[in-house]
Amino acid sequence: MVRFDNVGMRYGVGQEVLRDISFDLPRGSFTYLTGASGAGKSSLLKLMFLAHRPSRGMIEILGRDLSRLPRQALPELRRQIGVVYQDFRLIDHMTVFDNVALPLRLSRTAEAEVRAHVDELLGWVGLADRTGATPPELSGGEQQRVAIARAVIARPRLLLADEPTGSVDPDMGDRLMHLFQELNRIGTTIVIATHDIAMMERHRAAVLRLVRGELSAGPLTAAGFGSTGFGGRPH
Amino acid sequence: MFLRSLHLLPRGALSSRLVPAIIATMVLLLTLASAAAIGIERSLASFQSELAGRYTVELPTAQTGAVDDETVARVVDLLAETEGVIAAEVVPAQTMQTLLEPWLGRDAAVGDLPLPVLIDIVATPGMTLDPAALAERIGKLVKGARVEAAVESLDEIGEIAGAVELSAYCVVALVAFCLAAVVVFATGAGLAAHHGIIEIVHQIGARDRIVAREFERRFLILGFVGGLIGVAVGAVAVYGFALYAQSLDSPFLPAMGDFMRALVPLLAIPPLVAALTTATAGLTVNRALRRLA
Repeated sequence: MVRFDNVGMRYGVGQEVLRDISFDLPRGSFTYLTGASGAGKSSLLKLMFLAHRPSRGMIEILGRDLSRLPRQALPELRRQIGVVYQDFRLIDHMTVFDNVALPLRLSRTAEAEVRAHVDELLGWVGLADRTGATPPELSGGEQQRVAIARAVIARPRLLLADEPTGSVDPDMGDRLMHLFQELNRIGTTIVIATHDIAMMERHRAAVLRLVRGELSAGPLTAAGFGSTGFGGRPH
Repeated sequence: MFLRSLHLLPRGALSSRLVPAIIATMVLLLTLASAAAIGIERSLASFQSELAGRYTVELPTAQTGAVDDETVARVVDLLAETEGVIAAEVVPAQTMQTLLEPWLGRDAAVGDLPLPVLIDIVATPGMTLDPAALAERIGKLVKGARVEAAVESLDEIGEIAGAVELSAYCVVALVAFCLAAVVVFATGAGLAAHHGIIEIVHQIGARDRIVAREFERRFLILGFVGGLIGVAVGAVAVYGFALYAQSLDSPFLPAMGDFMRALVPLLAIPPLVAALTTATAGLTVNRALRRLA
């Protein structure tokens, strides 16, 4: 499903921010990506959501070898990947409804179907009464929920989330984690980058740990569970 | 489908007041230059048709002395009998005086000058006379007589008018190029200003075509509206000029109705400009997006 083999990544001509990254995430796995700030979590996610090309190594996403993928095939692949950005990246002039509906509209889903799905999901994340608001009118937590709704609305095969519960209270955080687990149960492969060890303890899953741009096999400090879990298999 | 928009760009994203104003101004220039080119072409055609079939016989008097009225009458008779001539008329002294007034002054004693006798000939429409053969026949009555087709004197004017017309069309091409350049810059500015949005929709899986279509749609509207405004203002200016030209009552200028009818193709400018701005915006966006990962 997601396979990295000896991958390195650098920005421009600078030093490599990721080195010798190799792992294999099977279909339907649930994996936490953790590490200190600057360890390379966001860079690793960028490689996974095709926003950046590796400087070396081989990446396979949803069974497609990225080095052999023509540029025109990328949109199709991207539509199967949902991304929750740390900074939300909502479109400010669009309403909450339109932001969430965008992935469906891009894949030319019928408008009646779009309306039904978006209304249902916005209800689920507690934003049923905010559909007409624009992102600048929302709190940080509300924006985060919109970002999550947008990422999952098209039922992606791979969901990547960067600190998806960082701006919400613990109750809403748990509710969102249940949403991710629900998606995982129906087959979506999930990778969540997070610092939140308490949440990782409450919702246990495999862990990939980055230390200064490399995958580490060392134990997690507070959580007490190992860096390799049930899904993520560094090799 | 083309007009269906996902509204990826904020309302008015590319239509700061400057862009439509620039497009309208460019189209105004385009309209004026096109009207000038058409006007010159029509004027020349009108003048040519006015003079077609007209010839002038010149009976010299400088060396041979005055030509008496009887000889002049015989020449006129000869001309009247010539096949293809429907009228032959001696240019009256009063007309000669009027023609020479600008050079010699109102009170010049024209009668004292060794002026040639001029006879205007009108040929049957569609028929062409042979000036050399005619001059040879008249030469038997008046030595040194010459015959000139009026249209021949237009050759140089025609060349100058052609050059001016070509220049006007060059201005049209130049303005169209500048219009495309304005759209390239405006599209580039729009891409830079909304880079964040484009990156997001790209990441969500939008094809380049969908993003390009958003820009194309905006520039289709800007081009068409700018085109309409430019053509409307240009039409008022051209109509004002045509009214003024008509008041001059010059044979060099085409009839008002003819001229305005010749301008009808200019109504195609707004859709053509819209097509130009749309295509330019689309190409610019597609080129820029190819640089994204």
